[in-house]
Amino acid sequence: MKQNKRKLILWLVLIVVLAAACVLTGGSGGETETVQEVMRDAVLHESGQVSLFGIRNVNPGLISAYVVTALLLVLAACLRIFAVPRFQNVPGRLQMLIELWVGTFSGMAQSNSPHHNKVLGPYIFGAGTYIFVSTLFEMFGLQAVTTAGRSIALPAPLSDINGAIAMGVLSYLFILSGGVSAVGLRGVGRTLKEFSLPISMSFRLFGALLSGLLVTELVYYYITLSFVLPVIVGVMFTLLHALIQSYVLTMLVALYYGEVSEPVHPKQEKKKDKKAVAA
Amino acid sequence: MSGLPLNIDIQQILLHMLNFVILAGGLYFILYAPVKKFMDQREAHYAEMDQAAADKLAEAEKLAASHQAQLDKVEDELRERRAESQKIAQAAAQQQLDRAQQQADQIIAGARKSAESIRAKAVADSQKELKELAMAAAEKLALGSSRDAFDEFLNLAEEGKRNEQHEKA
Repeated sequence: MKQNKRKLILWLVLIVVLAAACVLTGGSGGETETVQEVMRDAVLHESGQVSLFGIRNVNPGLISAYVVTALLLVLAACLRIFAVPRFQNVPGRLQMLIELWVGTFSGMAQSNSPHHNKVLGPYIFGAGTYIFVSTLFEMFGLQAVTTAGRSIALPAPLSDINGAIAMGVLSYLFILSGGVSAVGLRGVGRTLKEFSLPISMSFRLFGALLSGLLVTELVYYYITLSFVLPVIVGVMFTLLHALIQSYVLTMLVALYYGEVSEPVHPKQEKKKDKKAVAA
Repeated sequence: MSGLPLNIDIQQILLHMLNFVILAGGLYFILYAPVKKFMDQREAHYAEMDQAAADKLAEAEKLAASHQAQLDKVEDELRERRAESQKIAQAAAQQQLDRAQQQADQIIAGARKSAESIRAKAVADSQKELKELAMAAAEKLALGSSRDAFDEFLNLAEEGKRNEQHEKA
């Protein structure tokens, strides 16, 4: 036991010494561009564009979005083929996880929009899953080649402003459609009242995910910050982000959807309620 | 399109939207719908089981209530019959007691009557015997010495008295 402990201590000391040597002997990193350029490119993707099957140049976030979609659809197909037919009344671990996954969004839809939630459940299920997985996606560091011939790690799709706007606008349109299908033109009025919603949703998503991306880029830019810190920044930060952002957007969509699709109450009941409150 | 700030590109936004619509639809048809269907079916199954159990419980409670009512009815009937039979038994016992009392009275009366007749006969016999003794004594007095005859008379009278007491007892 003592010998093992000594070996372990020796091994750890060796690691620390080598790490210190790496830091002390190295420069500020193998970067070829300044930190300002890296940050600017992370936000705007002006120089780091990727070719979409040779059709046109797009932001790497779009490629990430397609990869995430493909991964999710393959995973869903595998689960549908291998797991769902084996579902039992007393669930196993995988079944419990899948049921929790579906049940969370289904329950959220039912509780926030009790009158009209048939389409809301599937929408927030898709949106929540997409945001969660696409935020985690940046951790895998899948590589792509830019049109300039440089290699880049594919970012989270929603850290691309176009992806975030698409998500925000689509969610707003979805809420609008819910209002129209539930209460007709009154629903349009209710939804238009929240005209700032697509902007706030888009930029909330974009800002939240971009901040994570920027912090990660900043940390990786300097080799001296590349020890231990990435575990906290890269993993914990991204995991929390994924959870929080998927929860926030789905909750907002469910809330607004429930609000605009609420059935119209007769005026008499409203009067009665007012009288009761006054009393 | 490249004139928009922040590198916003309408075509890329639409491509993102298309991507998400495909993903949401695919996830719905492949995963959400079958899993939700399974969950709903299971919920319905358990709700049905729960309802069936509740129905059976209600039925059992109803049955128990009807059985209890029947039991109460039977108990009431039993109580009534017991009271009735008790009354009948009491009446029969009273009848028997009355009859026995009557018989006893008759026996006592008969015994008294026979005792009375025996006593009367004994008294009559003793009186008759006394008379005979008195006659005999008078004859002896008249015929023999007076002293001996008188003693004999006394002895005979005592003997007659003792006989009478003995009969009375």
